[in-house]
Amino acid sequence: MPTQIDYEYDHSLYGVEHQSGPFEVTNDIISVYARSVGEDNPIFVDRDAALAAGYADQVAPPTLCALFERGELPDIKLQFGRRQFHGGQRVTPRATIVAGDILTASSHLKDVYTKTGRSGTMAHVVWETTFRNQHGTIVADVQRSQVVRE
Amino acid sequence: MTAASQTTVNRPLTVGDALPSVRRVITRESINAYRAASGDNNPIHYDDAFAATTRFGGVIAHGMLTLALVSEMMTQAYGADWPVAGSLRVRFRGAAYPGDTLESTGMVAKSNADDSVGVVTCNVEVRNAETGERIITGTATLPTRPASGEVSQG
Repeated sequence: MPTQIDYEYDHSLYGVEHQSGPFEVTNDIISVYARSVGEDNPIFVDRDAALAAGYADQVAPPTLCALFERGELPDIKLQFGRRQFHGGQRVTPRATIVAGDILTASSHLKDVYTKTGRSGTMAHVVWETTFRNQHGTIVADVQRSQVVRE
Repeated sequence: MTAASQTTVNRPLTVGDALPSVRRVITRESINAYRAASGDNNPIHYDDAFAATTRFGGVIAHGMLTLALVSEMMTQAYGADWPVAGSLRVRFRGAAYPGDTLESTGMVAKSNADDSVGVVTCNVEVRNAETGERIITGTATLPTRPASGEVSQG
């Protein structure tokens, strides 16, 4: 149930699943991502190490899903604020993601609420996304909170 | 698929146990590398002139880049169990700038490691190591025993 707030936005987005993808998880994407965030666990950076550890291929750090979640969500047309930033993130891995997987994302608007603190009012826009692989297995549940400021 | 088991000595499993902290310096290079990997081209992460007009006053690192310190700390503490089964819930509270040294710390806050539940919850945070400002606060949770069978919920 969405929170009641004083600002207009597109309520018709509730209850609608927004599909995006397919996103191909390549060895390159995993390597570049792992290097950029400083993940040096061998299963993330070395395919042979991942195979030796019993995985089907190079393993993706669970937060890699966030790469595909960003920029794929509809505009909620919130009549408030100008600037957005990333306010919070939840990542719940459900199954291992390895190179060669093809992911699809299903997102829905969970809630929009406001909070007023010392620096003024902020609106929080919360999206929930479920990622599945090519076998239909859920690999991760991701929740993203985007903050909009006055 | 076989779940890999990488044994880690002395995993923090008791309430109060500290996690091994991780320190890293945020650089323009690391921000640019993350930008290239993620395709996140918000000018707040590279355009000095634009960033100067925002409340941040300058270019800042992506939140997910600062969150990587938590992930690395959890991997050091729990080995391969973390990337495969751990979950994270955080708030981004402060911004990190190029040249900032960040430090992640954590402590076991709740432990059902010994009973049938087998879950450990840690309070985690990332701070600016020089000023002490909090950049990230949140919790990280992971099962302490291998899951039996495929995890699938929908």
